[in-house]
Amino acid sequence: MGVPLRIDLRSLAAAGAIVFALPFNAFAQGAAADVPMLDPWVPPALKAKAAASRVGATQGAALRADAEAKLKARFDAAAGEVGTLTRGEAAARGLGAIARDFEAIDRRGAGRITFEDYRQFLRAGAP
Amino acid sequence: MYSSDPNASLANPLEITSVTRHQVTVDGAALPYTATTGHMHALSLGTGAARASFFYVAYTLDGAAPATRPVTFFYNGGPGSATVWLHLGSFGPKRLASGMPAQTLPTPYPLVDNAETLLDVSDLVFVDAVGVGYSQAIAPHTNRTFYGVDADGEVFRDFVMRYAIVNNRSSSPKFLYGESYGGPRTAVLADLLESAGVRLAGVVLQSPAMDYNSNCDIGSAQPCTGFIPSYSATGAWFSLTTPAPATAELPTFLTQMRTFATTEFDPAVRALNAGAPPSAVLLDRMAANTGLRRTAWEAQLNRGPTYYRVNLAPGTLSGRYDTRVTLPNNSLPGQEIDPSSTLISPSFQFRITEYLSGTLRYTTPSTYMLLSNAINTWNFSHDGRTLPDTLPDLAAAIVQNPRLKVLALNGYHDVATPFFTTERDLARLGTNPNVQVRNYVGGHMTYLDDNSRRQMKADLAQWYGSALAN
Repeated sequence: MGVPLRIDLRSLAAAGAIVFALPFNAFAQGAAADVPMLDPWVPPALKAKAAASRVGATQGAALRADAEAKLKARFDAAAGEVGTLTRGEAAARGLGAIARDFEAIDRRGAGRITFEDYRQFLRAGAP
Repeated sequence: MYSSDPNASLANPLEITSVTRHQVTVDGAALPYTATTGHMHALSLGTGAARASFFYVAYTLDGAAPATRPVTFFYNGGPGSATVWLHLGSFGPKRLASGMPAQTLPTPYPLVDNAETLLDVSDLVFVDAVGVGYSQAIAPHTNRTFYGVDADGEVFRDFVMRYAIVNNRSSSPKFLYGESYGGPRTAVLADLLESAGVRLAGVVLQSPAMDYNSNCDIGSAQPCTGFIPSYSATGAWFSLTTPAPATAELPTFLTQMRTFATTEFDPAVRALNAGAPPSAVLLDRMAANTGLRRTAWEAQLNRGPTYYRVNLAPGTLSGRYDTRVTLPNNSLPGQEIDPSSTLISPSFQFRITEYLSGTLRYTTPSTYMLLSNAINTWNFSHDGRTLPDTLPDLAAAIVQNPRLKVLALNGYHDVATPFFTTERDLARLGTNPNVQVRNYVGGHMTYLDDNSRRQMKADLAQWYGSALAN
């Protein structure tokens, strides 16, 4: 299959030509003959709500801060009121990366880490 | 029976697979492979409970060592789309020969051996989201439990982790390949996998919608700046721009059009919003650079893609996924179809059904669902926003794994997720040599264009190599 010929739509439309007929074969009947092009798409009411509540996009250092905020929220949810995690707690609560790198994160050798310990580990370039 | 109903669930599903053996030839070398087709349960990271039964087709190269052999997980988007487009259109061992953007080939398109399969580089797992294909929630959960940005990402994480454990792939270099909504899904999933301790080698974002809020057609009322170069590519294809560059000159032309969009169109829209009408010079340039007549731009400067598709040539409707595909416009205003989707969808529906049962020997009385209505009940809210911005998720994945490779692939002729929008979204990450964007002639599914698929395969093979050496 080579590069298709380029078509001058303007002249075709001006001449009233039918550009192409829709292929519709028997095999399509009874099946989903036309899948709507809903990727990506959002319902109109949601689009209106989003337009009304738009928040600016962050970039660079601010985007990095957003990323760290996500990780902090996850850490805090796992650490609870205590605010710290042992390796075993990290593993049991789904934070496998912290459990894996625990020794490198726990530079004080305390056996418990704070989010600040983890943040410093990440800012040093992770493992 | 599998169902895409939001309230549907499975009571006691089994993990049954069909295993078949095949061979495909790539660059003159015969690759024997095994296809594994069926279901695997995603187990909750917290409780270990089976929450969803995922339908997948895994292609694994025979004789390779699982611990070192890369594995790539593919999924489409929607949300609510089955992974049939990537599975039968892109880099699996078989592909539908659609010859896009040709419109005169007999349908259904034949399913042929794919000389551009990535199976020589990586094992390939094509997995359907909950509620489409044959994937479904497990009681007491329902499909709707997973109809949301966060819940969907979590259950995909649980599938990937389960797949790796069951198949002895914990040490395998892992890649994700998501298309369209599968792009933001990939960002969310990459962050979740990295946190859970699953290292990723790289992620491919095929025509992704990373930030719904940056796309004037789906998310917001802001300037359609990210669309302008796609209009230019489309106008050039139909020789309606001035100049109308040939395909070989398109990249240079579009470099100029990006600059035009950013430095002339965008400020003009903002000025117009503040009450200052666009200059005559700008309107002339809008017509020359897009092919859409000057009076249309004069009536409304900030034009979304539907108007462009309908009005580029009166009486003719261009595609949304691939603007090169056209039909006479018989749609009611506001209900415009997508000729490029209409052209290919029946063939994909027909062939996936035939292929799963005939070639892969997976049988079920259920209909393979190409598209669910998940989008109507989907919880799009994410990190405090009404519509998802997943750049923070991608950034979080990179913070956790600074070696993560990110490759975005876009089509010049796609006005669903324009290439310039992807570039602008990813530019928010700042300078990072591990983040790359490649653009190709073609639509949303660039891989359907034979020339572009060949180029993509070469680029991907090189990229996988660099990711594995990283």
